Formats: sequence, C-alpha cells, structure tokens
Amino acid sequence: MDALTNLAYGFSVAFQFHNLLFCFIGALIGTLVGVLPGLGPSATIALLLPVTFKMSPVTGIIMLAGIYYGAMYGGSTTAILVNIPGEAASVITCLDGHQMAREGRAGPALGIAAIGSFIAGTLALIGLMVFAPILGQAALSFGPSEFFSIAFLGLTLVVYLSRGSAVKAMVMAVFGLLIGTIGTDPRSGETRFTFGIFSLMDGVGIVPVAMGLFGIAEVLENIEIGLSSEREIYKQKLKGLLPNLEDWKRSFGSIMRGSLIGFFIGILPGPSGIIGSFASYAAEKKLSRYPERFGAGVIEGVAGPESANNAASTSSFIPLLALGIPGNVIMALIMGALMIHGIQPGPLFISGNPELFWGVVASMYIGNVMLIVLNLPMIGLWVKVLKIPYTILFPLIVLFCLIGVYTVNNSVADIYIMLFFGILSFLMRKTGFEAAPFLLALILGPIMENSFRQSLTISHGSLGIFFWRPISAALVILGIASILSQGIPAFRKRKEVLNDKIGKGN
Amino acid sequence: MNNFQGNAMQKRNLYSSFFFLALSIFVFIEVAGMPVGTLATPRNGFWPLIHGILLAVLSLILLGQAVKEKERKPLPFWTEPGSWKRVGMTLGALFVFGLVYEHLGFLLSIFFLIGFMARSIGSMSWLEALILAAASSLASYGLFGMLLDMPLPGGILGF
Repeated sequence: MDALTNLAYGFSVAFQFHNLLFCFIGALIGTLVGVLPGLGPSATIALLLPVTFKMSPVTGIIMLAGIYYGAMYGGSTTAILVNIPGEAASVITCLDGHQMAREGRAGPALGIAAIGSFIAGTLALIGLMVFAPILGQAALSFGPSEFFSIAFLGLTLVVYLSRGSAVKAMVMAVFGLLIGTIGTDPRSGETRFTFGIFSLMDGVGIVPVAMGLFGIAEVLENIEIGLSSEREIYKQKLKGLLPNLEDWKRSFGSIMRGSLIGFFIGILPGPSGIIGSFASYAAEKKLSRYPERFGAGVIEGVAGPESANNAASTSSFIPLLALGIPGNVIMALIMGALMIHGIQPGPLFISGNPELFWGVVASMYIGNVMLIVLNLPMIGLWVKVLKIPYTILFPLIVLFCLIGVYTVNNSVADIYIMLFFGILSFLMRKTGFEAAPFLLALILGPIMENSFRQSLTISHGSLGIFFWRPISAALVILGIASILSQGIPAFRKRKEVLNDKIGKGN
Repeated sequence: MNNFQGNAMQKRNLYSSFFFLALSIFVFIEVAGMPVGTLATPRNGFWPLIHGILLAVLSLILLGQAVKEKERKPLPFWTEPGSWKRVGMTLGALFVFGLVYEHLGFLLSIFFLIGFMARSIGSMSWLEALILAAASSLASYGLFGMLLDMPLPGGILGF
C-alpha cells in the first residue's frame, strides 16, 4: 500500500508540466540516438549532462532516464530496417527482425518490438518499485567493507563481461582507478597528481572524460573509417504495425520471459542490455518447437530480446539508487549528474529524496507510453532520420561536446581534457582496450578508496574485515572468482563465443 | 578474434604494454613523495601505490602475451591511406578552437569550426558548409545561450 501511495505522489511530481515536457524530450532524443547508428545513449547522456545543471535534479534525471530507455526502443528500428543495430543491445534483433523485414513483415517486427518493450518496461518498473526500497533498507546496515565489496564486484563483473582480452579490461579498470586519485584526497586534504594545475584540484571531471571517451572518440573513429558509406534503407511501404493474433500467441510468452530475464540481469553490474537480450534469445531458441527457424525471421526472436533489453535498462537503476553503486557506464553518468546536484545515491537516497525517486519512477511509466506513440505512428519519420548523412551529423556532435564540456566550469582546460581522453579512447579502440571499465572505475574509485581505507582503519589493518561479514565475504569471493575464471578455458571459450556473436552483429 | 587479427595486434599490444609500464613507473616516482602510511593507518599515497603495483603487474602480463604472439602480416593502423589527415585535421581544429574560443567568442569560433569541418573533412561545397556553420552556430546560441541561459563567452562580438 505504501508503494501505491508513494507512486501516486510520484505521479503528482511527474505530471508537472516541465517534468512531462522533459520526459518527452528525453524519450524523443533517446529514440533519435537509438535510431542513429554511431551515436549511442552513453555519448548522448554525456553530451546532455550540462543541460541538466540548470534544471531541478528531478527534471534532469527524468530527461536522462528517458534518453536511456528511449534509446533501447529506438535501437530496434535500425536493427530491423537496416540490419544495423542502433545501439549494442539491439545486435541480436538484427537476426530475426531484419529477416522479417525482408519477407515484407517489417511492420509486425517493429510493432512487437515496441509493444514488447512497453510491457517489459512496465513490468520492470513494478520490480524497481518493490526491490529498490527493500535493498535500500537492507543496505542501511552495511558498513564500509560492504560498500567496498559491492563496488569491487561491480568492477570485476564489468571486467569479466568486457569484450576481448580480460587483461586489457583489467588494465583499463586500474588505469581508471588511478585517474580517479587525481585531485584533493578527501581524507587528508592533500593533493595528488595535480602538478600545480588548478583545474585538477577537484579531480578529473566525469563530463570531459565521458565526452572525450564516447563523443570525440566516436567522431574520430567514424571520420577515420570514411564518411561516404551509404546505408541500404528499407524501401517498401510500412504497413500493418499491429501484430496479428498468431503473432501475439507466439510472442506473449517470449515477452514475459524476456522481461523476467532482462530484469534480473539488469540488477547485475555490466552491459546488462546486451547480455539480457542474448540470454533471452538463447532461452527462446532453446524452448522453441522450431529452433532451426531462428535467424530466418521468427517473431519470438524479436519479442524476447527487445523485451529483455528494456527490462534491463529499468532494473539497472536499482543498484544505483538503492546502493549508490552504478552497474554500467550509463548509470555511472546518471550518478555523476546526481552528484553534480549534490545528491549522493545510496541506502538513504529513497527515504531522503522521495520526490526524486518516485518522480523518476512515475515518469518512466509515462515515458513508456510516450515511446509507444513515438515509435509506432511516427516510424516513417525515424526511417527518414536514418538518411541524414554523417557529414552533417559529426560537426553537430562536436558542437554539442564543446558546449557541454565548457559550460560545466567555464573552463577551456576542460576542452583540452576532453580532447586528451578523446585521443586516448581513439587509440584504445585501435588497440583493443575498452572504455567502459575505465569510466566505471573512475566513478567508483573514490567510493572504493574511501571505504577501503575506512575498513582498514576499523580493522586495525586486517584485510580479514572483507571476509568477516557474510555479505561482504560473498561479494568479494564472487568478484575474485569472476577474475580467476578468466583463466579457466571453458569459461573463456563461452565468453569468446558471446563476443564473436556481438562482433558479428556490429 | 581470429588468428590473423590476433597476430596483427602484436605490435600494438607491445607498445601499449610499454605505455602502461611507463605509467606505473611514473606512479611509483610520484608516490615516493607522498605519505603512504601503514595498513592500519593508510595515508593518501596508499591507494595509488596499490594500483601502481597492479598496473605494473598487468603491463608485464600484457608484455608477455605480446612477446609470445607471432606476427605475420600486421594490419595497417589507419583504415585507408588518407584517413589520418581527416583525424589530424579534426584534432588540429579542436586544438586551435581551444586557443581562440574565449577571444573570438562562441558565435564566431563555432561558426569557423563547423564551417572548417564541414568543408575540409565533410567535403561539403562552400555554400553548404556556410549554411551549416551559420545555422548551427546561431541555433545553438539561441538554444543554449539564450533559452537555457548557459554561460557562453561573448569574445570580440561582446555577446
């Protein structure tokens, strides 16, 4: 009953005109970047972080959340129509979705993707409402050792789930933790690695780093590949977006299973949207009476994964809001936005900021309805958007990066920090190093260092403190196991198979 | 990753392991000037020291892996022969932009930057590049500077 009262309060917040407006803007921008290959939700949220500075925290987070789940919706459009995933979580949708389009069934494929996403998003919200307060309440009894262990597990799982070499992912995580030490040590007030540069006293800001890693590097990579490549776009007239009765019968179970799988995978750290959609596809294929037809245009192959990635995008808010631990890069960026507003996510977040938590939850219900309207009747518009050439897009992306990064501190130094991380990320992409573990480590670094040093002080220098309390012990052991499993051939093989599939989709 | 790609990565892995090894040595040198403390009372050099050690170990593992790989035919670093020019011009333009941004102001510096990138990198015609530069600088000034009231430098135009 409490949850319903709180939700009603959340709706009173979300229905305020400016919140509704920015929920719509977020969903619209999210769909747009989801549709456009080459500009993902991470880059967009990084670009638009500074825009939220002038807003109230509720309005800002409502917009950023809208971009995230909007991109999950929009990503399926390009996957189905062009065979290019608009964002990574839609890779698997290409397999059956594009085949359906080639058979003249693009309408039902787009329809079931949007409707499945709506149902999954709504179900995951109910889960978020139930689980986040419970987890937040439980986390009140957590000490610094638990917080260190949660962040440690988050980081090790991101390393485990990264594509390519595990050693490289670990190097990136450690590099991120080191960059996170730049600035003033919060416990002693002494500076580290600042070299007398005033702009570094407060540390390396998340906005210039994220924009460099995702915005500038993306532009450099795309212009390096070449600007002339043309996409083959679906030319037939789209008709019959609503799935027929037979489609419904075949998809209903897939949507439910996808929602459940996506929800629970989303709670775990890592690229949950991608993993959720792959896990859902594998489950559908296994449970199907005709697994051999998967890949040839089966509607379950669209309904399940699309539901899963949307459910995961909602449930990934749970560890951030309830524990203060971001499980993926997008959550890290949203955490950055909260911190810029002076709000610390964690166990006290929900009780201390009911307007923010319940307002954002309620806005997600509204956003899901908006997305159905944006994605189904306006599909023709999104197809046209796909035709915008990159020669027009890339100067505009650079423009957004520059405005965004400068307005944080009115500092040209931040432009050069962004440029530095842009070049670094470009080189990292060329050498097989991933940006996600780096950025997550940069965000988690101060939390980890603080809780690690506090734990050691409490235990008089005994590392056993991380193993004395059961929750901390379980999390640390799981984290260590995920690192050690990289050395076990069977685990490594399974990871390589998954990476191969993701790589082919791209 | 197939064998060919794996072998082609060898040199890059070698260079990157050297880079991170050098970085870890740099961290050790810097940490030498900081109080590290003890396990019971860790000070501000403690955390960077742990990660300097971890980075050194991981770089050595990476170096070992790179040395073990046999190189056959390396992939070229650049996708096509002239593509480094586009990347170089973009970076150069952004570097110069940082130098002149506050002097020229938002409108002029964005106009020149977008115009340069659209014409030189995007290969648009002069007219198209001018239209894109004028439209994007004016629209972004209206949206961010006037509507969202974000602080943008006025420069020589004074607004």
